[in-house]
Amino acid sequence: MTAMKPIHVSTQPRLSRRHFLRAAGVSLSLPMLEAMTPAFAKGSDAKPRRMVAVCTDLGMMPDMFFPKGTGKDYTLSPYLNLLKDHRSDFTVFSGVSHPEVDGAHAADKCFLTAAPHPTRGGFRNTISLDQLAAQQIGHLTRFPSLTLVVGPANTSLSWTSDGVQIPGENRASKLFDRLFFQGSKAEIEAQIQRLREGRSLMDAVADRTRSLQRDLGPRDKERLDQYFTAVRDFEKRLAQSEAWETQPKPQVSTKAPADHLEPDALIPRTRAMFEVVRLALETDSTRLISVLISQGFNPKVDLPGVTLPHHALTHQGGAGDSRTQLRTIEEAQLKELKTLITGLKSVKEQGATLLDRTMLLYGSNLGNAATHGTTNLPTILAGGGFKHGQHLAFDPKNNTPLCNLYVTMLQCLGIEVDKFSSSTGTLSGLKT
Amino acid sequence: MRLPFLALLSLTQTLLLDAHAAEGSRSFLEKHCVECHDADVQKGDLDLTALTFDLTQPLNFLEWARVHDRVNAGEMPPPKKARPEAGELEGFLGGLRSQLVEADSQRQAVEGRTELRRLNRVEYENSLRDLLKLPALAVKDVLPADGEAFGFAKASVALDFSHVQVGRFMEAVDVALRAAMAPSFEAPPREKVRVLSREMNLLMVQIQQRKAMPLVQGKLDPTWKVQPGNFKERQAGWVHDPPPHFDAVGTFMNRSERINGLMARYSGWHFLRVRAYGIRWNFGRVEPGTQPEAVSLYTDAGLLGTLEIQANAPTTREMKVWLNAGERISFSVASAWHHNFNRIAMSRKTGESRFEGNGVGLEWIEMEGPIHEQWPPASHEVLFGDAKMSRLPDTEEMVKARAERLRAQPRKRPKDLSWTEKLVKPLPPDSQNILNTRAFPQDGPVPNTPRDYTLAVPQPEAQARRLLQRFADGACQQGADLAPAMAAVRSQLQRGGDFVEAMLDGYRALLCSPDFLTLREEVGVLNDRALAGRLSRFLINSGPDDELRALADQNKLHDAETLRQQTERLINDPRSHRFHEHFLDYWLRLKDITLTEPDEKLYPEFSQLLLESMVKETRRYFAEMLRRDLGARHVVASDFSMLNLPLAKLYGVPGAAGYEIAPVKLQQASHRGGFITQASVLKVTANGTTTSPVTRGTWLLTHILGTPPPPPPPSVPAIEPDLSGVTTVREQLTKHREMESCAACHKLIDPPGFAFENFDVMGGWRERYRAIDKGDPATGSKDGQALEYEIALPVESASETKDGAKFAKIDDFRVLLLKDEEAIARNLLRQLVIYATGADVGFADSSKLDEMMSRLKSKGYGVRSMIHEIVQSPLFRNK
Repeated sequence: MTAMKPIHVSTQPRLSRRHFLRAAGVSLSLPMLEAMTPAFAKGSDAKPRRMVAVCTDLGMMPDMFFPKGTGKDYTLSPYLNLLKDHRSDFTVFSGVSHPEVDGAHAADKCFLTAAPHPTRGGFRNTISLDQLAAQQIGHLTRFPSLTLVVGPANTSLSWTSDGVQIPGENRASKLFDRLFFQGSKAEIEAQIQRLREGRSLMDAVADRTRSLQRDLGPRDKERLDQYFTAVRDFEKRLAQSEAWETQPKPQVSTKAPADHLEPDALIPRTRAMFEVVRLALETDSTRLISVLISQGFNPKVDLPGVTLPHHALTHQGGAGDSRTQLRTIEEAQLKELKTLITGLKSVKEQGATLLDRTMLLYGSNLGNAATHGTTNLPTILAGGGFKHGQHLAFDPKNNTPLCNLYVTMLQCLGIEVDKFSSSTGTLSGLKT
Repeated sequence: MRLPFLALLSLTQTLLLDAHAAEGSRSFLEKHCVECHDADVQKGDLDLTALTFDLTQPLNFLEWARVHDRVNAGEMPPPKKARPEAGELEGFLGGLRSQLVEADSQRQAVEGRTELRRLNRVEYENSLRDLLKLPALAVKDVLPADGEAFGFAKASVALDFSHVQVGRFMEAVDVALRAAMAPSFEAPPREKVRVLSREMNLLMVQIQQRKAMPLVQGKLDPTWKVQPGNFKERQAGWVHDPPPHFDAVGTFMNRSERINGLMARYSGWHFLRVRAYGIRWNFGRVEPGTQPEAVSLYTDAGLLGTLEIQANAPTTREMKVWLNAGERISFSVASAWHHNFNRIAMSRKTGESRFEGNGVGLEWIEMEGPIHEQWPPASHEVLFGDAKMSRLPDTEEMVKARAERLRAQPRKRPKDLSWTEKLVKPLPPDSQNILNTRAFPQDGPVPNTPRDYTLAVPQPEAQARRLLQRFADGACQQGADLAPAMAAVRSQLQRGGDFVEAMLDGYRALLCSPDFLTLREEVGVLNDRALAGRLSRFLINSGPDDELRALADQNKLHDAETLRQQTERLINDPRSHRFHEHFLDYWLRLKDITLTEPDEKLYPEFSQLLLESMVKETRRYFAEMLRRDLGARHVVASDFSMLNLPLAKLYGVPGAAGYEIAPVKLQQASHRGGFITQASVLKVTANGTTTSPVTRGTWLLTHILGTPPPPPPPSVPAIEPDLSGVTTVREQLTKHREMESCAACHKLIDPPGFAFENFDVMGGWRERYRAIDKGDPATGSKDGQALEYEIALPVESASETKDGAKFAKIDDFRVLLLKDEEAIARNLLRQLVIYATGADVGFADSSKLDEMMSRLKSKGYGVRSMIHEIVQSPLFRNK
């Protein structure tokens, strides 16, 4: 008589839902319910952490950007020399990129997602760094995150987990209004009404769930109880949003900036946007911001001596004064970065500076705009409380995944992950 | 090592087995088990002296079930220890088993086999698609991914609730309701936009770079002259094209290009048409095409479809697809090989394109729509019945939005040449600056237009109740309490909202309530409504349709013959593809197929089209098994395959004609046949670069035979396959054979894995491994360019099974596998039971499985018969 084939009985008892989610390879981020204390009053969070990610989509000339020497004693490159006053506030990286992210200009889609091959048929993007963080800490501020673009609207660095691009706000004035302009009473009331309707819906759903539970066996009752609890949790969050609505927006003394929508006004546009970015962080209106600097290809940049379109200049390496013109543009952009860093540093917060609490990533999806190369991306990380002042050089022939830096950044935000997209670990050499 | 009698002494004092345990158990355990599994040694973390015997406690039950299973499989006592006598073993097992069966039966009598669960996200989407009559509604991706239990997302423990889930359900409902209601008072105009290939800016850039060719009547345009622009010298490119002007563009790259001008301004059904012909490029010459080509159309959300293009004669092909407002179309020549030509392929100096390859001469792509058979659309009527629409007066907002939507319309605009004015060299006469042939601007977004109609209803509350009741009857398994929905309706009406707003609030309440989201079943025999739900979620992965519901309401469904007829109907229903997809995605792990991508250098012939085809192959094969009631044997072997051209090429099998999947007869000596040699399965069990016999062996044991091996010991690292080609993975696994503790499991796992080693990471057959270096150069070319991999060590697939039966390759391994036909059948049956009921086959169920198996034997364990058996069995008809 043959032995009965063994029946596979699950040897695990009732497991927490997290186990199955992890076991299934699903990384659902279920925000902590304990952190339900309203974050309205400033200083209620122990140490708020922020992140700003900026991508300039036409890159920077590698021989002008990358420094010589590594570690703490590296020699500032011509471009980094513009930031010399902040030398100890930033780290410059070389030899990093996103593996398998090609597609030249299309790679800007993947700057914060690192999804491979953006130009292949059937490409589906994945969640971006800022949106992943927003799932976890977004609820702590009025705006879970801000998605911005310096250039034509409707493009951005931010993508949801379903591969949908979040349209970017390109008007600094509109952004300013959203942050600081108190809506009309009618508008606020309408929003509160919507939230209240949501809450009463949840109330009714909770009641119905309770009434259904009565006729069920113990196991089924427990299952439905989970739904009941979830509904109640969600209702609490709606209440929290409602409270935000009644909360007055922070007041700032500056006026709304101008938008500078003329095609060649890249630099004033960048400056205006960066200023609102700083105000947003200062007022804790949000803690996660993505900024895509993307002009499209035809516009020139209105700077002295610049006569040709920006994109054309990137491909004209040796011709005439093209290099000089391109350098003028890229240096002007970096000067705006310097202004932003200086601005963040000047804001004090609980004994530290806003810069200490804010990770500012500045880089590009192109390592070499002339050849459309997407390896060896020029990358700077400023602030965030790290020990800066060094050049972390990785292998230019065998790049380290840029997502390793992203994992470090997520951990700095207090998010417990050890992997993001194409990461292979955290970025070695970067310490707090 | 203690003396036995001392051990016995300590045992009788400390063994906690209480009176419930059969007497035979205690003595057996004392004699054969407690030596290792006591408080001190605790081998495998099991201390039998501390283990109570109370099978009513779920944890305790599972522990004793595990004890039973391991002893039953012969794994315990371990081979090194003394074997118990046959009679003793049977006594122990029999006694324990009958107690486990008894306890399980009692549990089932009180709670049922299954637990209350919510809809999983695929069921949710399908249900809304069916209820709202929106076949292409996309809400699944709004919801978080589901967990898994027992290999599927159909069991309660895998489908949790969290506030994230609740919030997303609310979002999904809004997406669905917005898609269902009429967007405007008037039907949106049906428009046709045709974008000529010469109006596609990206193609023009390709032409400029000599990657694409201008064609006139299928031949290279004889009057065409192009000067590519030169950034360095600030020279704009130009084109001089006296008549005859080119009427098509020959494009040879498998690269997704978005087409400006083809954006759906309104949601709805659209026709997409492509006019093209297959051609070939051969180092400077356009030659007649030799095979049909494939053009794929995509939106950001994914593949819309693939059209087959005949060689040489231009033909128009069309597809009918649902597009959502704002979606933009991209196309790719799916059958071409290259993603992009590198510089080697083009000579910048001479302008010659040094490559050969197949592609299409593309004339135009057009979009027509939206096509609405009725207005307001059917989905609107589901929500609002025949309530009469009346137009609202225009507000400023409406006028603005309407104007913006018109501006988003694809429209050709004049060229802008201002920036070329400062060029160094002027353009020659009669030429044009092709860089600025941007006929269609980049499409803007489609703005949200405020609603411009309202619904006039004489008795809104009564009508609301009627509509909600009708909807709930279809949507909610056991009916619904309409009080919350009606309260929402009333509240909105009181606040001054119109009937539309009120109904939307009502539907929101209904669709977020547990009446819709959860499946409640009563213990014992399921009532007809619950039975209808189970049947439709099994066979069409959605809620019951009108016919099923009617039978349930008349209390006729539970009749065996009626049930059989309905099962037959649903198996034949066109919507049954949802069952094939969802079942295979989990059973064979096809859902993981995009997790890795074959390395471009090692596997240059891999393409998106191949990926799409291999998944279709497996689904169609399963459908064919169902159609012909083919047996479990066909899991492992078959005399036919479901192929199209790319798959046939990969497999080296003749007989496929086009890009549609069709049955192809396999030769006697073919390596292919069954699921186990299909590319999709072979890809899912490999990564992008290497294969592992351990992964594939484990997959076979787990998913096909139903005997998953125990997990590896925690300290064993994964092997790093040697890409340089010096060592084969088989050589690296020799430790499995040398070390006894490894060999115990690996003599089960490795042999099937070795049989599969002849299949590479995308399912192609290989006699030798591909490597990056250290091999012989590969023969053949990638469109005239050298291949970048080498051919290295030979594959050694020969091995022997745990019973000592030797095999040389997959072909004879398959023969050995077929001896286990009953195990394969039983496992497939079990997988179907789990999928259909959401609960595993427990101790109390296995006798029912035995009965089904004995009845199925005479039908060759046919899959269709299996489904009938399951539906008729108490496993399905009871909770």
